[in-house]
Amino acid sequence: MSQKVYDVAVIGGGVVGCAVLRAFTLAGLKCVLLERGADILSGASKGNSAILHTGFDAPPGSLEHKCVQEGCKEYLEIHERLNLPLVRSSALVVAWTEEQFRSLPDIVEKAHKNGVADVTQIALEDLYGRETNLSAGAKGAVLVPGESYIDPWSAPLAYAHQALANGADIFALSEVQRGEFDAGHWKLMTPGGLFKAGVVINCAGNFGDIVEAINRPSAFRITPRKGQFLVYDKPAADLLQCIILPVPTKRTKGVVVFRTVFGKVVVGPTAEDQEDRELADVTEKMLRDLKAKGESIIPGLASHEIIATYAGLRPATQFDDYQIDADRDRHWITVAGIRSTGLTASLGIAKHVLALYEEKLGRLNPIDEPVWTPVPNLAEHRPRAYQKPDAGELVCLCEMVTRKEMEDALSSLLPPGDMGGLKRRTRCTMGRCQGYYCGHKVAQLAQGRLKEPSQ
Amino acid sequence: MNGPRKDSYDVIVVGGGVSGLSAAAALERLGVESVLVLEREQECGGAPRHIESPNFGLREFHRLMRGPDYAAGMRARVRSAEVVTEFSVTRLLPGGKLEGAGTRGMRALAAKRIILASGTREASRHNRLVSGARPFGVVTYGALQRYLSFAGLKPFRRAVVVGTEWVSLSTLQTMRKHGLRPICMIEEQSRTIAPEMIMRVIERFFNAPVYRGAHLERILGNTKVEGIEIEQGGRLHVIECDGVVFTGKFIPEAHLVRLGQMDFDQGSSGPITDQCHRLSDPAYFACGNVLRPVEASWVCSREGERVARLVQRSLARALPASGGFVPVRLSDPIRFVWPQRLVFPYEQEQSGLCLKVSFRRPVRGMLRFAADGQEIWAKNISAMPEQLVKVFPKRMPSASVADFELRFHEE
Repeated sequence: MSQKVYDVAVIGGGVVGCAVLRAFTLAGLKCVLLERGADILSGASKGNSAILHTGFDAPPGSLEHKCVQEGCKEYLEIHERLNLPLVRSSALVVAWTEEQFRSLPDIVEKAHKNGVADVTQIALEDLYGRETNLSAGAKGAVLVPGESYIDPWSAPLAYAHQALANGADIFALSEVQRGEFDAGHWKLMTPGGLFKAGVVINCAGNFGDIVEAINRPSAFRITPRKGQFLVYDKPAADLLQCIILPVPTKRTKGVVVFRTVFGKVVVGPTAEDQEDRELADVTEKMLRDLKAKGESIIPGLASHEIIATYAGLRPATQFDDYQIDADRDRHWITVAGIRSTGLTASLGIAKHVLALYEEKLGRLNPIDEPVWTPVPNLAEHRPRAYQKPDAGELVCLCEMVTRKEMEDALSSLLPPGDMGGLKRRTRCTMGRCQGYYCGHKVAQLAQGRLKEPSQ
Repeated sequence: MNGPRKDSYDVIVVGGGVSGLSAAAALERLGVESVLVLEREQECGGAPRHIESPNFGLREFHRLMRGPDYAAGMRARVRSAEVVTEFSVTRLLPGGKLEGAGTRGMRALAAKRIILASGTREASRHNRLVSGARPFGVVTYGALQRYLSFAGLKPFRRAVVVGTEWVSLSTLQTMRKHGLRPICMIEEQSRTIAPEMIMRVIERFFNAPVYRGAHLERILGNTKVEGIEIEQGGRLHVIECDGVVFTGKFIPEAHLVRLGQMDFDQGSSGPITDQCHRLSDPAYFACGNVLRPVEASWVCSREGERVARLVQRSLARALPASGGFVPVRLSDPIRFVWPQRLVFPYEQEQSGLCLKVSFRRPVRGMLRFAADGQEIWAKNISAMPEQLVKVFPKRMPSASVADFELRFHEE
């Protein structure tokens, strides 16, 4: 329970909520973030695909396009100060049929229209020169030099940390169940107590329409779109260089094969609409389909070990574009329908929402010298804690996580609320043995220190 | 723990489990002076450290021992070799160089020969592509043992055991000892992997029926396991439980072989070696369960001793050259054979040449081994997947051979 009256309450601690919290805090407003889960990033954001997009394939003129490009630009500006990784791998859109091949010039034209001028169609020799393990039979490809991959969780965690360090509050297990707007202020009821705020920003992801109904009948309906992924072990990483994209269909970007900053190879996502907003389960049939799909693109994957499977739920609506809108009269901003580009777009969305706020709701007073909060590096290609002379004991032997890193995470400004949160902050148990060697140690270390101990 | 005292050794053993300790102790006895054992955990001894059932040590110590006592016995055999725990090897480089991380950061080490003895682990639910969310209470048997023995934690009360290998029976024993209830066992095959005769006794003793020919459809529950759904004979059943233990389906811990660009066998998921246990880079040898899934501790221990003798001879340049090897060809349903290649002359130690063969599915029929089209061994066999069938060719051809082939003729 907090007696404070906040300027802004952000509902939802996903990638978008964290970026919005950071932006409003750095803009000099007193902010609170209310998260229904035991930890932030435990909804749609836990299954994101870690790619930093250029926006080359976004619908021209869309809000999504604007936010992706702004978001990408800001990430490039701030990632070093937050100690966040960036691997400029480039992406290849590969055509496997004549029909797809004929659409490649349109992809290039669209990219140029979107201001991504370095996108070009490349010759087959060039394609196979870049990707020597690519399956035979490609008809052609488009090269997108600016596409990169980043750390999918450290980035939003860094945004949340910076917000905290500059005066914001974050409350977990604080699902906003009801709200009242009265005399220019919102009263938000949560299991953790009552929160008062001048403005509410709905960043509730897969619960976006339910939270929206607190203010007004929702103009959109969320239908979670499940994406399943396969993760291959490190030795597979030599099989590819670029992010391998398919020619997109109207509904989905399709199955991507990409490397991660943790040295793995990922194949996914699927796109399956479902009603359930929480159950992100994998299904054997789809995993087998994904495996076959991945092997049809990079045949060498067949001989490599699948070490993990996971699924994420993307908050899709009946609309193609993001649903972002400010209700001036009732001090409510909606940020919804952020489907698959949220990681890249989050910083751009935050900027856009800030402008909406300034235009319709109030003044900003940016902090002169904000505190910067670099986060621990987990990316393989940059120095890791285990490599240092003071490394000490290693707990997770596959992902090389030190006890010190885990202790630091557990006692950080934003300690994990559940086991998933500890994994996202340190990578413990996320390697090839999936907890065979260190599961018991991790459980011991975390005992009594998580809000939600059983997950 | 301090790191290795020197940067360079005659022999480095990667992995301080049963086969690694056994190799180090044997190297000492053979007079190899400069030996380093690298173990990534805090204590050597490997998996027996957390297997409490008393079925270890009969051949090595001439009595039945609990796993932890056996592990201690194996540790005590290593006297003069340097043993460094909490050191994880991260990369093997050509010619016998390696990189790794200890408690004080990264180190680069070199040796004339490196023995890879990094062991094995069980396939997780992810590796098996099992449907479901990620509820708490899904573990492998190895992880369960560690929860119980090392941390005193119980991840569930009533669990389904997936698999019917020998190790699955050990799982039932362990669960019973810690007051955990095994509800039933699930076997994908139409008969159990461990002998049916024993399984029937076990079913009654633990009051845990075995569902044969049953496919694990999905794990139920979002935050905690609530049950499983199985498909058997076209029908779906739900079985309530709060835990699932995956047993067996061992995978060699051999990623270092692939990262080191050495030849790798997709069938065994281990390194490709010749009968001298030598990898494609002849500075490297391997022994124990990193070679293939999976052998009992006494076999690993004996393999460690054999590798020590081979390494000593290799140091004295008394092994046949590794270059002129002949691969053993095989075809479906054979999953793998170890060793994967043979070098000449095949001179063997007392026991003679022994190949170990594993199948992809349950089989019954004639297994034949031929050299240049000439049959040199044949036997009627019946085998389940995850079992190893031994091939002992009594008379190997005296002249050099251009082709070896293993063939299976189904009944």
